Amino acid sequence: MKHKSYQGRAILRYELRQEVRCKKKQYIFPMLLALWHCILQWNRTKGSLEASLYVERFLEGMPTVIPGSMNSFLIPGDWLLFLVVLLYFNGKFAKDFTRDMGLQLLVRSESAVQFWNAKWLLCVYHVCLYYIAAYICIVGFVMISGRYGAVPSGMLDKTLWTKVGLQLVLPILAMSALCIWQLVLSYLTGFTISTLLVCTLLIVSAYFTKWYLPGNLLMKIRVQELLAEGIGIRKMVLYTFFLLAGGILAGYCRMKRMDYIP
Amino acid sequence: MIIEIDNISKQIGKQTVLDHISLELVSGRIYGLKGKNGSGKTMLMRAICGLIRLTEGEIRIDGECLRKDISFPHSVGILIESPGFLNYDSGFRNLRQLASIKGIASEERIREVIARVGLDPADPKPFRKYSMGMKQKLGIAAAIMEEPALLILDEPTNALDESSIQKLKQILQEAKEKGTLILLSCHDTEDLLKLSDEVIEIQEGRVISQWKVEQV
Repeated sequence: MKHKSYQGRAILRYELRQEVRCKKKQYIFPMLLALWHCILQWNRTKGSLEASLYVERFLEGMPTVIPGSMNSFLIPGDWLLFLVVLLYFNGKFAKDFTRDMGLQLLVRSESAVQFWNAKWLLCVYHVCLYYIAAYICIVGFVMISGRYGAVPSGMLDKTLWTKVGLQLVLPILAMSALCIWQLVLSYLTGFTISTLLVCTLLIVSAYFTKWYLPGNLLMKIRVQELLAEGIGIRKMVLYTFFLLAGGILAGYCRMKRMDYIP
Repeated sequence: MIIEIDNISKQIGKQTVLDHISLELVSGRIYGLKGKNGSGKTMLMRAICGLIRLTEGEIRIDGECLRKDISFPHSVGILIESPGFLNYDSGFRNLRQLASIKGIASEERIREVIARVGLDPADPKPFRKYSMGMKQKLGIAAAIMEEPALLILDEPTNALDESSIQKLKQILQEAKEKGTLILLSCHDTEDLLKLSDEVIEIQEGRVISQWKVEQV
């Protein structure tokens, strides 16, 4: 008899293959949104925008909302749409192991813990692919529009890692943590309520610039504001790690206690 | 294999779906569950697979307590409710992918079981184009391909014609002779009597009788 971890790895391999094979249409949306962003930036600046700014301005969010001001209710649409669609796809397949092929995989895993390991790793993989799909589209647009040479040399200096952290690592970590918590919540409350709860958290984040509200870590402008306030990027990354670890732990507990019925 | 079901109950909301059920199931026997829709047959099967958390009592499989010592039975093949596979893949590709999880069933074995249930292993037709009967046969093939010690089939005769039911009977007899513990349910009493050694009658989540088919 093979070890349970073999089954866990086999399930993960299977799910990763399926993610690319059957769920690839999900990744069209972030690409379209990124393309729309590029075209908008191109038109606004009449093609004079520097290449790196196409990346930096994508999902940049908005500054802290001042209550009573003109923009009190203006949450950035592209930012919200990008994240809500990701949450929708994440929640839609959250309980797919309670029926059909998913149920066959679950029983063959022989261990709920191994199965949860595969599930949350898949969730992180899904978030990474979603973000990467969008950024690939932006880089493609920049290259095609002939502005690749305009990448400033500053991108390659010692601040590079802070930039990479801001553009990719921090949002992917924060979004992975949110998606994992959404999975756990969907096991407790179902798809609709869990998705609504996480979306509400995102919207609340837009109104309060607090480093512990994960929505802020998904907006580049807010992260810059938090950095200016003296909250280090390391603290934010560590916080998202804790959030992620908390979600994984809660998932272990929930998977052991839940009924696997649709 | 011995399955000891010790005074189990399951409540979902205010409804009691399993009500103090105690049974002992041993390998090399075919147990048929009889009961109306909503009587608790499928829920009992789910409980034996470790798919539900019991409100009361426990299920031990070879002495190991389900949901405590083990999450699911070590060697189990299931067909619960409708068989569902990847729509765009052929029957063979579906089973091959499923078999890769445990790494027990070889490609040859997969071809053999597909042919055994009356399907063509070389058929490239995707699962979505299968008829109801073909889907059911593929579900049975998936359940038996790894030669599990415990076979749980919920309504396996659904959408099967008479000759396919005969084939299923042969398959179950062979599995039984190899020492597999088989638990199945059926709407049709005649089919159930054809396939089972013992019948367990369930009503409103309770076992109301258990008898051997040969005694009837």
